[in-house]
Amino acid sequence: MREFIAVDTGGTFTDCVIILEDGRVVHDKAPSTPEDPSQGVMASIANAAKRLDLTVEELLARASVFAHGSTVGLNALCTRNGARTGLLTTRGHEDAILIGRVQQKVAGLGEKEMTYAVRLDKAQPLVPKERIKGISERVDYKGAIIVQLNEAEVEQAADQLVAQGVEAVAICFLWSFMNKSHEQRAKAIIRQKYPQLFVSASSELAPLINEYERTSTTTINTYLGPKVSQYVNALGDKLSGGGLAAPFLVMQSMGGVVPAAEAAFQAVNILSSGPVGGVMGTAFLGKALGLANIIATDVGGTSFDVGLVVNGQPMEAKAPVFEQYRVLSPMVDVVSIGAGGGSIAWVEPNSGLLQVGPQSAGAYPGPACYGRGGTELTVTDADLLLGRINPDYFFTGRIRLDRSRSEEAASRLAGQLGMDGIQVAKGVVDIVDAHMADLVRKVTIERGYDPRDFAIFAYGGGGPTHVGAYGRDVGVKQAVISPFAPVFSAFGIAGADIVRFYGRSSPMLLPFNLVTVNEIFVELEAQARQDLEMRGVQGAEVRIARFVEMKYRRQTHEVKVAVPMGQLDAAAIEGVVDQFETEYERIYGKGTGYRAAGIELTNFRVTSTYIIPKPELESLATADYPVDRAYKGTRPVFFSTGFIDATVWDADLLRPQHGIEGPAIIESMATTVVVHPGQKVTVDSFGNLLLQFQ
Amino acid sequence: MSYLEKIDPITFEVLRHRLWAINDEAAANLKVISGSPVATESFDFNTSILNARGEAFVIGPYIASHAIGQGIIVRYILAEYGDNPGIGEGDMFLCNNPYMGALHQNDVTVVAPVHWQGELIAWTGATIHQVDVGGASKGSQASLGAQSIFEEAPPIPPIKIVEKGTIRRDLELEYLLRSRTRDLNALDLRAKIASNSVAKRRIGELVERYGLETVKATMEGIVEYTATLLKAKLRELPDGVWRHVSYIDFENRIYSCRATMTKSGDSLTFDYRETDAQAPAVINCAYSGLEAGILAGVLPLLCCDIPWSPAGVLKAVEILSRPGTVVHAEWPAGVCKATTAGSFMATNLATACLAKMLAASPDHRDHAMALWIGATPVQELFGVDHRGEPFGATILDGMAGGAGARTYRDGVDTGGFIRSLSCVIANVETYEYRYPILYLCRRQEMDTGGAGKFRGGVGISMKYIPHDVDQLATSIMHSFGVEQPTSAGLSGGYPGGTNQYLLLRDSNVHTLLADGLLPVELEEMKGQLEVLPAASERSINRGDVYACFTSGGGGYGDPLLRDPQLVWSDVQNGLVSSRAASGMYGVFLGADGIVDQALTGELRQQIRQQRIAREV
Repeated sequence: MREFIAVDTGGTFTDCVIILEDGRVVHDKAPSTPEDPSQGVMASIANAAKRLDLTVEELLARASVFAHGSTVGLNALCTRNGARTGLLTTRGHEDAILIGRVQQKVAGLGEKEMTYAVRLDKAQPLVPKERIKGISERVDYKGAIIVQLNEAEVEQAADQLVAQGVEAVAICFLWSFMNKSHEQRAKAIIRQKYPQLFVSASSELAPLINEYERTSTTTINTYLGPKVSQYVNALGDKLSGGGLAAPFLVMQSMGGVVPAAEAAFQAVNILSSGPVGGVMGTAFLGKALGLANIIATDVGGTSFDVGLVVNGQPMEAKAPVFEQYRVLSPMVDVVSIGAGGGSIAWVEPNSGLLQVGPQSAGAYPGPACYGRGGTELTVTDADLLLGRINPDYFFTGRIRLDRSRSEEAASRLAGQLGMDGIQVAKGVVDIVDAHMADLVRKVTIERGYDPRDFAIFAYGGGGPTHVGAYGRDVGVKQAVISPFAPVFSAFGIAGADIVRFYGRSSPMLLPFNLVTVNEIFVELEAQARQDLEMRGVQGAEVRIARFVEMKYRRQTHEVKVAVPMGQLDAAAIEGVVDQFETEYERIYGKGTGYRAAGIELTNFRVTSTYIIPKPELESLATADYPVDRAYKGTRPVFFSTGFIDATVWDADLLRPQHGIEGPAIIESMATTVVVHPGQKVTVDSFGNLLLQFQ
Repeated sequence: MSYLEKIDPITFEVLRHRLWAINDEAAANLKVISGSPVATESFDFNTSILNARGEAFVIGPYIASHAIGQGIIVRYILAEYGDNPGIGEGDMFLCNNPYMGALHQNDVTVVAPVHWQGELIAWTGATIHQVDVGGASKGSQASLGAQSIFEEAPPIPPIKIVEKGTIRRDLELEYLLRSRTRDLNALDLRAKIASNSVAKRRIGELVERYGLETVKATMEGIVEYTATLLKAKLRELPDGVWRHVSYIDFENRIYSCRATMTKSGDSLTFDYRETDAQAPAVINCAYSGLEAGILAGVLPLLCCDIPWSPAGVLKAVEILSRPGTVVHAEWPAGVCKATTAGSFMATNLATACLAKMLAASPDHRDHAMALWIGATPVQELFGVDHRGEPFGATILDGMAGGAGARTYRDGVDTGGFIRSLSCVIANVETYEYRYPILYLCRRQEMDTGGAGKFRGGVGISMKYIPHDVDQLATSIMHSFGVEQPTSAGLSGGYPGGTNQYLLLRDSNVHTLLADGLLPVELEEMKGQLEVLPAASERSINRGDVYACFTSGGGGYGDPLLRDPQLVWSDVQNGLVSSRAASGMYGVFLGADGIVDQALTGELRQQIRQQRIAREV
């Protein structure tokens, strides 16, 4: 048997998804165990195995791949629980990571936090100043050595750092991506004297221009390396002890997975968490459905996350930020706001206006209706009061909702607002839906796309409940609700291929130096092939692709363009430049190209993809029974002006060719779809519900 | 609240958010088309939506002051252009005249009326700081030696650049012709027009969906809502009168700038009438710069938890000024450097008065801050680069000054300046790739933050040499706060340091580099030190070292009350020298670098005695 097993560790739950050889998908979850996340991983596998009447050992033995999304690195970064780290820089530039281009104080913040001037602060340093050592050495923009590396200073710095108790050392010198000899020599000196230290050099990890971001990237990588390595090794032992013989893979921030052994040396590239997995799931399912352009929307307990899939690929973030540090690691672009099922409604004291979020009741105590001590009205409470969700049938039935507590919470606000409780609930839902629509619009338009050209995927606990409103508002034609929506991140990890990213900066102006261009691609590809060979992989399953990032000189928008393989001649370069100009105008509008200023090539990139053959997802047979069998009755649901009777349907009994017209509610143990009047739902061959807006 | 009689509170909340999103989309469009580092890295631009009377009620999170300028321009157009040339559907107006609203000539603004079925219902505005808009001085914003606006870049009154949806080619050329960066200005003009167009279209769609009365009620409501929140906060603050005085040093003169702020009930009055008479040119700001400058202080100090809606904020604020002064210049005084001089000073004065008021309130003390860097050192470089091509550069490292101390924590080191909270400085590698220079260092500078119980954030410093060329032909260095500090402390805290421009002429730097040494301190090199004034123009030659130090933020509270352990840690981190540790903070560090508690107590006692003995 060849089963694909994926486990995603989230904040509250650890999800396990299994794609069986016949294309069926089985999933389950277990509570996350932050103290030792591997326990939650094993428990979720055990729960999923039970659904197949297998033991953990039996299941692991049948696996052909085990893929894992982990937040161990991110948690260690957020709690400043990484290795004691030292940093070597070029003398005179020790403070680059502390200055953080000034912008560090607002990096990653929302607009409201950004303008709260008195509360702004830089990141709490990963490496305090006393452990940053400036070394006499200097390379210039051409890669020419201006001052030779002072080796005695390197040794002295290493001695001092070891005396200061460091376990890991990061090295980032100016222009090291143009000439890596100084960094390599410094690394060798340290390794020779102190072989026990974890050492990471920027010219190996991220040989890319911009010293602040390159230093952050290298420092984070060094800070987390030992921790991630420890976790991956321990979990690997547990899994192989449990009978896993198949490759153990780890999810990366830019989609794709890598063998766990490699992950330890690039901890900064696997910082991503659930939201990225969701976009990967969107791309995976989109491929099966033949959809190339998709807006991925995730309504969770505390946040609303939006990502884009364009031409089948998750969109890459321009400058990802972790804990206020801007890094050069490629990452799937996900934008979040504090709007989710747990978002709290409140009345602003001085204006008397109703507001929703960004504060959230989270999973604990959660919405008032959970009955775990939460007393404030949340979006989930409002959904309940409007009849949109079923109190006896929420979150796989694990939580029985108490409507009276929602009523109490609403009536408290109603008194302050001079409305009744239902009006308050309707207000809460309208406000949160509008905020979500505004974010979807912002994310697509800012990246040069029109949301009306996209399909929208809705997942997470509240996505299917709210997409009928925010999807309609932004003007998409169709929303897709997958039966795997509740475990979409793990589903995305299960569908991932092994992808490795290689990049190097060598800024140059048109006309480009063909020799240099060819040399750099040859070098990057050699590295890619070497990594593949080390894993014993070659042949047809491997795809290597080249890209360059280009921009108009004196302008800032970089555009990534595909480059043909093989030796490049002048004609090939001309083709690349043409493609850049076409793509630039497509994204930024006709007439925005600025050729007169010249064209600059900044980064060379190569990706290698090892395609893991996966079973085709199971197709459902078309319905051999009428849709009536899924009919559960009617219940009053509040839509735009008042309660009307909506039909209620069992999602698990819906089959291809069934169709339902709104107003309707479609329920399963895991999700509730709200179909507004005038909207229509059909079912596709994979069991996805397709919500049509026209 | 009266606006809630016309609109239900839920719809108001939805539309309010939507209008902010529309303005966001306009700004995104602008950034996308412009692509210039000014708009996409320095964020020296802004968009806004204004009501039919020309009051900006929604602005982007960029430079807040631009929205004030847009409002003044719209009000000028409304007052003067109604019949000739008329305000029609599909028209847009371009203006960079500081006496009609633009903050200085570089801030070229395009505003557009929004009509619905023939009725003028709103305006939109977009401003980008243009790199060059002509005039005798390259870069247009430091016309040193100018005696009036006539020697500066020529101002353009509102002109109908777009008529019935079409760009007027004659007027476009008239605008572009004078600039040294014509193509960039042309692209940015399109960015501004597109940004206005998208905002107009979206407002139209909103009216179509929700009805004119509802949208109008929302627009009025946002103003009233903001004013209500601000007035409520003002009522919680103590009544009183607060004053501040600060100075601009320029061309051998010191200009005193004085503000008196009176807070009574829910109103706030800024009186700048005691400020010195205007300079002939360069450093003044017109009224637009004053109003914008005050707003740029009120927003971060008082509105951290209130929407940044200028029209609403201004409902609670009154401004008194005297025409003919540095902060309210009269034609034909020059104002080309207004945003980094007169208007910046207006922000400093407002911020200082507001901080003193907040510090006097037990409930709001945690929102008080000492002054952030009070003047950013700017450098404009022109010459021929290492590729043999002419280049022009604005080096903006000086934005990385220190932030003011808080009443409970130190100010942010290299925190930037308060007028632009999201500003970014370029990487050293970016500058070295673009321009023929090589940095010896760029770092946080010791002892630049004002001493205090909580210390002001330190500023930045940098040194560079010409690289792969023999000369940087023209370096225009302009700031103020070189002769005296501008970032005042609060409640006994000391001010941050001064800004400094230095040239070490004919140094031995190349010999040192060739010998494998990498000098960082001026003391490590030999040469003639030239100390430059606040504004000057020089050439930088091979062998010269350029150095610039920026001011840090002001401190809060008496430095003798600072926890000696924090002083120790500052010394460890190179933020405070051991000399300042003993001299300013009275902290005695033993030979092992550890705080000597007993001697520290004695030292502090001594300093107190000296203070008592000092004649006042």
